[in-house]
Amino acid sequence: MGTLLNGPQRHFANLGVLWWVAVGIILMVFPIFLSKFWLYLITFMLIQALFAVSFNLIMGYGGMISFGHAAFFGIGAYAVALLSARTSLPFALILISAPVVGGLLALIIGFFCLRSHGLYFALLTMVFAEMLYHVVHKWYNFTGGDNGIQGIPLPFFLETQASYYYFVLFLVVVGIILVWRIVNSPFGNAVMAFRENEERTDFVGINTMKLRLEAFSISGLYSGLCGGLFALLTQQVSPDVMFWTKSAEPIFMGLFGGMYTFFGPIVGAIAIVFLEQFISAHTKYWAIFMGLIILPVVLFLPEGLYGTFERRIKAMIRRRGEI
Amino acid sequence: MLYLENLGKSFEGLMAVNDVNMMVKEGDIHAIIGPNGAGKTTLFNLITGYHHPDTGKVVLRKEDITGLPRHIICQKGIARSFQRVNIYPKLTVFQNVQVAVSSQQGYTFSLFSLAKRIGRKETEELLDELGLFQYKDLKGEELSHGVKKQLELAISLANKPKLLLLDEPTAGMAPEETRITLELIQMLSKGKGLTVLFTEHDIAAVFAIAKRITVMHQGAILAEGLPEEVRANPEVQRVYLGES
Repeated sequence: MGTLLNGPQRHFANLGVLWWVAVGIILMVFPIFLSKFWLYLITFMLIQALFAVSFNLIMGYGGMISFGHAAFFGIGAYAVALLSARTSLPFALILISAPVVGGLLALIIGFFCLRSHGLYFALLTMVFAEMLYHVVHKWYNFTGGDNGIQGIPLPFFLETQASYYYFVLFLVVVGIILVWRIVNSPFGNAVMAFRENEERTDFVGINTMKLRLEAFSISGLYSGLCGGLFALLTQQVSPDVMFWTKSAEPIFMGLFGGMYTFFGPIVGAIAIVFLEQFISAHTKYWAIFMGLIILPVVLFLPEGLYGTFERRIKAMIRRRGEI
Repeated sequence: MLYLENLGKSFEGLMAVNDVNMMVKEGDIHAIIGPNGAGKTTLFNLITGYHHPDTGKVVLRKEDITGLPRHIICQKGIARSFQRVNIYPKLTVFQNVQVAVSSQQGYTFSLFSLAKRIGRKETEELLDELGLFQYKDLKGEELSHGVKKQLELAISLANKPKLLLLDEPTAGMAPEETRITLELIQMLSKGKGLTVLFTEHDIAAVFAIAKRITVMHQGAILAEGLPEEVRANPEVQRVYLGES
C-alpha cells in the first residue's frame, strides 16, 4: 500500500474490516432463521443490488444514462426461460447464456445509440428497449406473449430456497468484486475521464466510442445475468421484465443510494426493495408513496443516502486526524 | 516534421483557413501569430483532427494524417493544449495525468489491473518536472488558473508527443507563471527534442522563444521566417505589429 494511516484512520479502517466480517456472517446465516418469504425477498434484493451496481458503471462513473436496460435484463431472463423450457442443455450453459445475450444485445444497441449523447442517447436506448418489449409481448409462438413462460425448472442442487439463495449470494459477491476491480482499473479511470471531459479524453489518445461501447456492453452483460437469476428465482418470466419501468429501477436505486459512490447503488437497491415491499403490503397506491419518499432524497440529498453518509464520515475522519 | 499543404476550411461560407502551406521543422519552436480571428485555432483544430479540412493535406513525418480520428492523431505523436483550460475538474491532479499516461502505455482497456499501480512512476516524474507534485491530491477544479494551465501541459506531455501544439499556453497567467512556462517550453524543446508549435498573444513571449514565426491574417499566411525577418517585414508591421 505504502500509505501511512494516522490513528483515527487506522481506527476506522479496523471498523471497516469488522463491518464487512459482520455483513458476511449475517448474509451466511440468513437461511437459518429467515422464512421462505424473506429469503426470497433478500435473494431478489441481491439480484437488484448487482443490477444497480453494474448499471452505475455507465451512469455514475460514465455519465451516460440509459433508459433501456430492461432490454438486457429481459433478454437474459427470456434466454434462461426459453432454454430451460425448450432444450435439455446443461444448467451451466443455460445460465451463461443470460450474460452472453445481454452483453451481445448491448453491443448491438450500444453501437447505434452511442453515436448520440445525453437525452438523445437515453431516448434511443428506450426506443430499442420498447421495440423489444413489443416483440416479446406479441410473439406468442416463441415467447408466450403476455402469458410469458411458466415453470422454469431448477437443477436439483438449487431446488431449495436456501440453496438458491447461497448460489445467488456467491454470484452477486463475485460480480460486485469484479465491478469493483473494473471501476478501479485504468479502464474505470478512463470512463470517469470521459464523464468529466470527452474532448480532452479524445486528445489523450483514447478511442472514446470504444470506451463507451465497452462500458455499455459490460453493464448489459451484468443486466442479462441479473435477468437470468431473476427468472430462476421466480421460475417464470413475463414481458414485465422488459417493460420500461424495469429500466427505471437501476436509475432510481443509483440516485437513491448515491451514484457517485461504489456502494451507493447497493444501499439504494436494499432500501427500495424494502420500501416497495413494506408499502405495497399496506396500500395498493404504493407507487405514490414510493415517489413521495424518493423525491425528497433526490432533491435534498443529491449525493444519495450512502453518498451523503460517506462524505460525512470522511470529513469526520479528516477532522479527527487533524486534532 | 509537420507539413501542411493547401489546407483550407470554411464555416458557413466564411474562410477560416485559406490555402495554408507551411512546414514545421523537427526540434523547432515555431510560433503562429496573428490578430484575433486570423485562423490560428482553426489551423490547430485541423491538424489535430478536431475539424476535417475542406481542402488540402496534413502530413506528419511523411504520413498523411488528414481527417484521421482525434485519438489516432494523438497516438501518432501529436498532443495539444487548448486556449480555454481543458482538464478533468473532478479528478485529482494525479489522476488527470495518469489517465494520459495509461493511455500512452496502452493500458486504457485493461479491465482488471489496478489503476493505482499503472504508470505511477511516470506520472509522479512528470508532476515533479512541471512543479505540480505538491498539488497531486487536489482536484483539478481546486487549482488556480495558472496551475490549471500547467496541468494541461502535463496532460499533453504524458502522451510523449513528438509534436506539441500549444494554443496560447500563457493566456491569463501571471508574469511569473508566464516566465516559468516559457522556460519550460524551451527546456522541453532542448532537453527532449520536442517540436513545439504554439500560438500566442504576448508578442514579447513569442520573440523570446520562437525560432521560427508564421504570421496569419484572415485565414491565410501573411509572412513566415526567422523572428528578425518577420519583425522587419513591412506587411506584418502594417497589419499586426503596428496595431498592437
